[in-house]
Amino acid sequence: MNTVYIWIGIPLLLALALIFLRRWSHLCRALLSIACLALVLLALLLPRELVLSIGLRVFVFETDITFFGRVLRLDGTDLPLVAVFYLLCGFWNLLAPRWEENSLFPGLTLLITALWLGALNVEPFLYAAIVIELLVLLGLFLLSAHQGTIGKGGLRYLVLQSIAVPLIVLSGWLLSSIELAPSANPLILRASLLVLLGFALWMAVFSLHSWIPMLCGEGSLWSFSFLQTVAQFGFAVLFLSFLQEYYWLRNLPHLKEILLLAGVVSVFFAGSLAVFQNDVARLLAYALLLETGCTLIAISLAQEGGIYSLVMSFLPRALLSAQWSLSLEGLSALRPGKGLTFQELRGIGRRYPFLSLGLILSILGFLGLPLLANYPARRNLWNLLQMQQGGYLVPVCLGLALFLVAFLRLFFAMMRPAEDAVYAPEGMKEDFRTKTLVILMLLLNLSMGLFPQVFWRIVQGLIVKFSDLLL
Amino acid sequence: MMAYLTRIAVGLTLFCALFYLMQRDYWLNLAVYALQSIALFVVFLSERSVLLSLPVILVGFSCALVLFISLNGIGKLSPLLRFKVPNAGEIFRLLTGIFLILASAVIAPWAKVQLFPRVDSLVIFCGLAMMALALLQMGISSDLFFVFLGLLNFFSGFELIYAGLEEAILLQALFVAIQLLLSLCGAYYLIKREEKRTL
Repeated sequence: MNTVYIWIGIPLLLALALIFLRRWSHLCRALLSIACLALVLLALLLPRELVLSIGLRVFVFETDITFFGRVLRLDGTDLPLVAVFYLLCGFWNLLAPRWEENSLFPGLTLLITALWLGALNVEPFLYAAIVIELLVLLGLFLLSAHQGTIGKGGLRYLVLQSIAVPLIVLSGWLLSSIELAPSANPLILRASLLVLLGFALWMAVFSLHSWIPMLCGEGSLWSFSFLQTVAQFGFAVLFLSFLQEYYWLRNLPHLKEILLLAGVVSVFFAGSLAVFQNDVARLLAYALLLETGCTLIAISLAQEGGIYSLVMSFLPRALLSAQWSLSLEGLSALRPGKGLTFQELRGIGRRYPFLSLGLILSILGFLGLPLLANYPARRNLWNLLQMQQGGYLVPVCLGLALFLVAFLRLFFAMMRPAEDAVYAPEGMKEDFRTKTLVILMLLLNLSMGLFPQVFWRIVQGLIVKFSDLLL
Repeated sequence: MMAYLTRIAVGLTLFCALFYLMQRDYWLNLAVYALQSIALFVVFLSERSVLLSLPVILVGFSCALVLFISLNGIGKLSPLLRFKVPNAGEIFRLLTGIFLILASAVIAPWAKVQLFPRVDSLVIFCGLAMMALALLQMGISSDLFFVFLGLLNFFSGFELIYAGLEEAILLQALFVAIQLLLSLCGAYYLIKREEKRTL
């Protein structure tokens, strides 16, 4: 048995099968949910030594396959990563709202998940860039499945993500030269610049983020939130792997300061731009920019313990993103013909209390309010920032405060009585399934805030993979 | 002889890139794209063997054919070639393109010394200019066809420079796959956009 076949090969084949079976959407979702559950459980329960004893029989798992001289490797330290990826895939498919009518969703999400794992575990890493380009194209298909075509946001997404590919491939070539001559400083600087620029494009750091708000208004928000959550997680892990593998990169002078500055600027501008938004879908885009900023701050403080905060935030971030997009998808589906601007959302707090509550708590969760999912990770991060670079707390707090103002604008719009003051017709009210989904997510949101140690157990294995960053 | 041929091919490649930066006629641009792939093949010969350079022509013609069939299917190809006096926008794009080519010519010798000592400076110049023109094209046009054409050019330009650095066949195959997928994607979205428009 080989881990690569189990967690990458078989899911890829299953994904292709699901794409062919897309007519039977319920069957597809059921198959996918079972497969994801099995893959997650196996990844969590399998011993890290990859030796499984059942009775008298001993199963030893191989960890790599070689393909045209390139290696695809999934060892014991990668299993928590595998578990989180399939957990996200299963979560988005199992809890997909009934309005999500994209029959390709199960197949494409599984394909994307398996390819992400391939990209993160291929050696040499420069092939990851090519796989990520493939992922971008698949992501476009997923986003455009509803409307059939792509808009300006989709095109900009494709262009900006594609520009990063040559940068990373070139840095891969430069890195091979550095391995031969580690003291060649100019090469190190050039390779680092290429890597940083490539990741800035991929992660949509501030000023390169323009496609996110545009994309938010174009396709299905449920698909968008899945893609962005998986991508943010994948890029964070890929960047940490870079830092882990290339010691000269993490020891580069001023790297920490650059990452910290980029993170703080992203958080500040996420808040500053959010306050001028009148569309709640675009607000989600700025919340994601805020998360990118926090990721960069955590990576810059990795050695001081920021990595704990980053790993701790993976699951809450996914949940909040799903909760936000579910609420917005619900509100769009229940009010056909109406948009998601603040003006059009007037009075929804009274008409759709469950979806409104879901929306409110997801935004507050993103801001890291106490008792909510993101609070433990955020508290840890702000404490670290205060201890290491206290001065940066001012723009960060300002950014968060401005985001809170944006939230309050939305909140007042939602709670004001609607202009027409007509109650929604019976068919257009929140149904049992919607209420159940919202309540389930609310409970998860609160549980993550109140009992973080329970969810920490799922992701804590990721720390082992990046243990060198703590030295 | 080969050096002269390469220079002519570089000139032709950049002329083609400038042409579809300036022109907005689908039919002409596809023909020019196919022609560019022949010129690119000759430029690639200075870095790779004939066998390894052949995919450039095959990919170029395949992409052009895929886009041609799609555009023809939705009736987007104008039947007649007609001369038009260039308008202000076209002249602006042409001048900006020429400026970028000149800038690439200035940067290429520096890039050869500092970054790619193994690659011929003419090839670096051609690759950089193609990438710069493609970036400009993607930046100023929101038309699906031109954005995808820009992406194909961008990857071709990069592949040209990278050909001199590494001869990994798998990487080359993956680049070919990406370019083919991009053209298929472009064709798919062009058709879908037209379907949506006619509904």
